[in-house]
Amino acid sequence: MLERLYLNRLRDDLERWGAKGWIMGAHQELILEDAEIRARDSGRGPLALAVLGAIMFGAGIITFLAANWPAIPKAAKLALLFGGLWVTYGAAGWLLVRSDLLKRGFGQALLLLGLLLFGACIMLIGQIYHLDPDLPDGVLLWTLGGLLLAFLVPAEPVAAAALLLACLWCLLETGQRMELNQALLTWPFLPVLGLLLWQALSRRWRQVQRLAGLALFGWIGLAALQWLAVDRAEGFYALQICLLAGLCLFLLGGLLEQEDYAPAFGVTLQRQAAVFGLGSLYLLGLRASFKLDAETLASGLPAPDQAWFLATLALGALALLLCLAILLRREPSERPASLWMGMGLAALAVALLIGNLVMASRAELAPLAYLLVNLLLLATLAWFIQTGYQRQDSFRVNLAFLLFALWILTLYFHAFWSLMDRSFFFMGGGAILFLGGWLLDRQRRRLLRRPPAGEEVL
Amino acid sequence: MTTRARRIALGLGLAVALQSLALAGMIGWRQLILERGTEVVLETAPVDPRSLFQGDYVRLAFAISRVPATRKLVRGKTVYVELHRGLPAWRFIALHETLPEGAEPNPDRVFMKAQVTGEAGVDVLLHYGIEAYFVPEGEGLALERPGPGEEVSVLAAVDSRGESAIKAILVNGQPRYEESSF
Repeated sequence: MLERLYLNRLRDDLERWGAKGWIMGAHQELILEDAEIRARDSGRGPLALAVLGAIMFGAGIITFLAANWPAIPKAAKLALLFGGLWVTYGAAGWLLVRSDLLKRGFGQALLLLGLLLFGACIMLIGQIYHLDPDLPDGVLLWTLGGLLLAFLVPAEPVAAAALLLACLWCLLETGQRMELNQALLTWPFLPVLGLLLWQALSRRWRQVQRLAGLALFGWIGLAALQWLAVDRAEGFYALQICLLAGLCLFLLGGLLEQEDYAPAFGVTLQRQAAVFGLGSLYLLGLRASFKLDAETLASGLPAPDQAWFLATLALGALALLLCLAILLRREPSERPASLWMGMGLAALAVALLIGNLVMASRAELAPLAYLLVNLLLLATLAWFIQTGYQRQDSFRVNLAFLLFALWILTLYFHAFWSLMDRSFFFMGGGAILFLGGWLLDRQRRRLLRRPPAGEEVL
Repeated sequence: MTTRARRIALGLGLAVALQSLALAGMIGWRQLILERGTEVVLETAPVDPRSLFQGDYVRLAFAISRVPATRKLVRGKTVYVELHRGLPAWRFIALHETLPEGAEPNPDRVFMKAQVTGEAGVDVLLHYGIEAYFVPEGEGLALERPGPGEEVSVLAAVDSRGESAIKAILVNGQPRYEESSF
């Protein structure tokens, strides 16, 4: 049905473009014919239904067996579990070796069901032997089973499931560590993510690449939360590290986006890194981050210790190397002005963050550092808007406008919270939000509607 | 069989074999404890939660879930609790940070492995890994709230490495739920 809707929409668009003289009549026919063939042969509809069916069937088996478990003898329970697992995998294998694409698709769905049943086996064996159900170890074993399957019998649904399981395990493990007051970073998550990403890149699995990008940032977000939860002084320098990490990942995403094996991962990485990095830059530019006194603007930050210096320098060097790699990857004719501006901003950011290690804790220099960080934020947002418009990337434009609106609102609060009567403060703020939001949105839509100048940028 | 089909068959066969081995390992590990471990009786204080995918289970707490410690212990640390035979339940004797030398269980003494989960004054809170017992649906409440004169305890098996597993739930010393062998 979705394919049919798409074809109808395409037919209307092609007629409209033909009327405007953008495409010729013969090309319209060719495009429509190609789209119809792809829609007919994709089998995506049946495959998506098969995958959904596998998930529902798996969930149904789990809940049915769990509810009727006590009546079955132990040996019979184990026979049921192993038998079900082997039959499902056997059927999956039989379908996967067929030459028919649709049968292979169903085979992948059965493979996914087999992985779900493996998880069910772990949980039900845990129940038979009364193992503690709260431990994340069971989910870890399930994840490793998925990882093994994704490598030995490559199938995108299985790799996606293994990645989701790895994320679940990471969350459960983090929760357990919080209860035990241990360090929150679940480092073993990274090699599992790395292996699945490598598989996704080598096999051009776009969905898994996108999931991997999101999972990576979920983990980085957990790491950032842990750092920022500690003493506020450490929080400032930790924010700088988050910003540099976001910058490095943004640059890496830009490099990967140009590679034919990793465009989906590169785009996802860039977008998540942009949110993470710009968010960190915005937070860094707050007066509270610098611990600036409202009257004297003197800084309350202590000087950073050696570890922060080393981490900042290392990430800064990596960011500059990535900038160089991006420049060298392109021919001189493929380096537009906006690319050079982006590289310049990145270099400025690195220099400023290193300078902050000295300036931010000194009473006479902290206000200057605070001003420079905010100027960097504005310049970066302007660059995002400009390049978003050139690339017709609505995500970049929307993100930049959103952060700009947030920045204006923050300034308004800082400037007027203590000076104005509360009712006038909220009325004034509401009016600014209403008018400012309307103006910004008008400008944003105008930018996105206009055709780009044809430049390629980062 | 084509090369592709052979590759899929081999890969899938290996994956299934390794997954089955992992499951068999889980079963074998617990079954060995049940069959070869020393039986100990532990006093309990049950609570009744529910696991969505695993049915009704009773959350157990033991008299030895909180024991005195001579020094501060880090959360997550593995320790060994020495128990001696007593009536109606085995008694706590001492807390060890490592499994003592020559610690083969005998009929009257065991060392149970536990993980430190917190502290309460001079005592430490311990987790033994046997704090859950799955019961038929709807029967957990009867164990959580035993009738007048009813006392719930647990019959556990403890092996030479300190690993433990539940063999039976006892009410007034008589088995209400019992683990069968195959």
